[in-house]
Amino acid sequence: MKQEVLRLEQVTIPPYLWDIHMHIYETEIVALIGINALGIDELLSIMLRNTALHYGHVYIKDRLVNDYLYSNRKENNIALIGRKTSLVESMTVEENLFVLRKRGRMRLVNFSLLTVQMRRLLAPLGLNLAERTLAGNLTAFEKLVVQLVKAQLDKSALIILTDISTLISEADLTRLKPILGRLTSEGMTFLYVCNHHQEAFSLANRCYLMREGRIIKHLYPEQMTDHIIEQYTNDFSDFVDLGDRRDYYDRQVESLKPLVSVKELNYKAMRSLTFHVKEHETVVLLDSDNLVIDDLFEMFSNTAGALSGEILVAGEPSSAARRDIALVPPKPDVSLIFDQLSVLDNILFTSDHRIEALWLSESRRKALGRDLMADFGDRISMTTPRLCSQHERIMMVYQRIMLQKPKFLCVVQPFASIDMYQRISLIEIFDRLKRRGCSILILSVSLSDSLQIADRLIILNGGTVEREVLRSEFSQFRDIASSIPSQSKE
Amino acid sequence: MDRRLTTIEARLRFITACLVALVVMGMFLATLYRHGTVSSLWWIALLSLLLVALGVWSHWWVVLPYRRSLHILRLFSTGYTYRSIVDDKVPINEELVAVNDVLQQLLNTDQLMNASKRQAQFLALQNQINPHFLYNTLEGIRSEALLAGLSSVATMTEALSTFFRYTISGVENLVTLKEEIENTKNYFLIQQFRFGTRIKLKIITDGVDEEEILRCRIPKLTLQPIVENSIVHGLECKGGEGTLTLRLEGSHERLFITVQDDGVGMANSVLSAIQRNLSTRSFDYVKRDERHGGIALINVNNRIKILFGEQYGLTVTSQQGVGTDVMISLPRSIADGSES
Repeated sequence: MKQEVLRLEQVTIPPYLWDIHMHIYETEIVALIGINALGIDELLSIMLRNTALHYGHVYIKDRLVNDYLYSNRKENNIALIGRKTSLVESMTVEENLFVLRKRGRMRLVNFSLLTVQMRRLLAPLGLNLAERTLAGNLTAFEKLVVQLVKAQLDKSALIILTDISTLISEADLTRLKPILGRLTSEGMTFLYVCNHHQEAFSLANRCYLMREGRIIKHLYPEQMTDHIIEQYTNDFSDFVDLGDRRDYYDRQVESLKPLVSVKELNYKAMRSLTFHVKEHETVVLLDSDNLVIDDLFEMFSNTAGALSGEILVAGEPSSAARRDIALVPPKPDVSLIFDQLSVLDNILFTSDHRIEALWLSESRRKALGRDLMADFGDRISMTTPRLCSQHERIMMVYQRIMLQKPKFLCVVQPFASIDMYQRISLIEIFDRLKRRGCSILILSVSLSDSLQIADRLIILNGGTVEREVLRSEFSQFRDIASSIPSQSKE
Repeated sequence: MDRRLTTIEARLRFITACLVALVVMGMFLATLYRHGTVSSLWWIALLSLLLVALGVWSHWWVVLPYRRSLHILRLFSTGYTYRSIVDDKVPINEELVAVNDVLQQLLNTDQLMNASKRQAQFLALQNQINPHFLYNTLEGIRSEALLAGLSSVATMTEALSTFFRYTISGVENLVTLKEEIENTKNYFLIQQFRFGTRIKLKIITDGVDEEEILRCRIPKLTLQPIVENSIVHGLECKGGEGTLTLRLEGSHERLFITVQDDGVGMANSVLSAIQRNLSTRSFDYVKRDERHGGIALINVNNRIKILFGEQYGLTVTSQQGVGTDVMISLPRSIADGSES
């Protein structure tokens, strides 16, 4: 007889969740795929904590823990593993695992004993760590495995994994599969939350599709096919397969001279890294090992110096201060939006080189604000972007770049942690930037939907370029990328 | 605790009395202090402490139950729940308790059940006299007879008579899932004479405890109306082959039956209307015209909720081009040989 770990019945929290029914059995890996993001955070938060419900019941291991009549606001024994690590980075792995436990009563720490225990737990999962390794020194994948073991030690009823593909590379994702298999055979249960069905299908036993705060489909194993999922993502495929869009990209095979040159770069894991991005070209740099992306982005910002080699953009050293260069780090909605500034000032932040006396003339700023009303509505007059949604904040960042009119744009994982409709908006923006003549470099650990906007793909291996693939050859990534561009009919 | 303090109004009166008593006591002690009878100011600290305690107590004893009652009333008015208003432990006042009692009589479960049963019987009767149903069935028998396959004629006739017998007798009973599935197979067999190999029935049972799942008790005629809906509104309109899948799974406490078809699916507006009717309680559908569609689903949903509780029932998801899924959630109750 199956043991139910989590059951949600008719859970309703207007305007985020409507009539949610969901059940997860012990030792299962169930995926939750968000066609759009509405309600997913709220759904996860009611799993983690018994907060007030408008209607419905929540059961954990067949025990009613929350309903519309009474919510005790207590935390449930469910672990959440996502982009933000739950490990204390300044402490060792042993301390994170055995000392910082929910019901830990350890007073005297015997490190050698803890190291033996740690190795006993991590070795079957393919991880060998030295004694007293600081959590901060672990790679993203190692941190993930340590958090999984920590959740196992805490006897978490359910482990929620969110945005994992944006955290670890595709190679690591392949390594994760047997680890999850092993942990489920030891009695653990997982809810895998993501935006792309390919990664969910490769890991999960069952899937729930969610859109507009409703569960719109419960997929059983034999239904987890591309054909069925396409019926739910018609908007996306219709948009990316638009005839004129496809023709435009196919025409861009031969570009002009190189705008960005990365020559013989040696720094940390980079080994004589050499590549170029031509004018009007969009290049995706895929670093499956997740070794160089962060450092390369720092070098484009000119915050890190190479041991040897150089990065030139239009013949000059790259720098974040240059207005003809735009750099977008991961999670730009958090890192590039300033809550102290108004929405309009956030958007105009890097337009001062194009509009004379921008910051002195309020009337000019107001006139620009009126032009932006069509895209942002009343939000444009808000004195702070605090109340703006994630989508609105991302759009503010890219609107800022559109006004800045850079020659070169470097973006880190633009399609990470966003839903299908946000991906459509982003692809539209990248298309517009490309049509305006901007060269784009996308740094990524997974292909996601980036091939849709790419002219060329550069694959790195061990910190150096392994091979280059042109748009016409992208079909070989059919099973890896979330979506690949279709070829125009000859 | 005094039984009279079970309503929020009574509790509020009690708290007000306590507050007045504290104020009077404070004034009295202040007078004593002014006349020099009491020299120290310890009584101010004591009164403050009592005031804070009264505040905290009021929050737990009055404010939280009041919020809960208000929430229940809101859910009642929007149709989410009927039972909770009757079961409210701390109602707002005595008058509302009396109103609830009257309401309970009006919402008498037996009466609702009768209405629901009548509707089920009506639909069953309608099936018997539905000319298309009979015509198609008899046409099938005739064709088979013409083709001189007498054994298949016998099979079909047997299926038809078994189905009618099962449908007409004791709609109010609980039956085992096995019996209900046998009836569904019978119904499907009859429909197959009409559709041929165009429609297929697939039954997937949880392999771990298949035997036990099949012994679970469910209300009679729970599956057949849903299967009929799937065939008529899903598979019949679809060109080419269609498959209807019955998926049976269970946990310690629950039994889940999912009826899936890969038919044409529903338009969003139709799906929203059905979902709204399933998530709120209403018996208006009994009065409605059968042509409105979705009556069978709402009827089955209401019968389950009346019999087992508001947390059980039907959930429908659908997508055009993919098909429709109806998940039935029931308590897991194993047949012990006698019917309750």
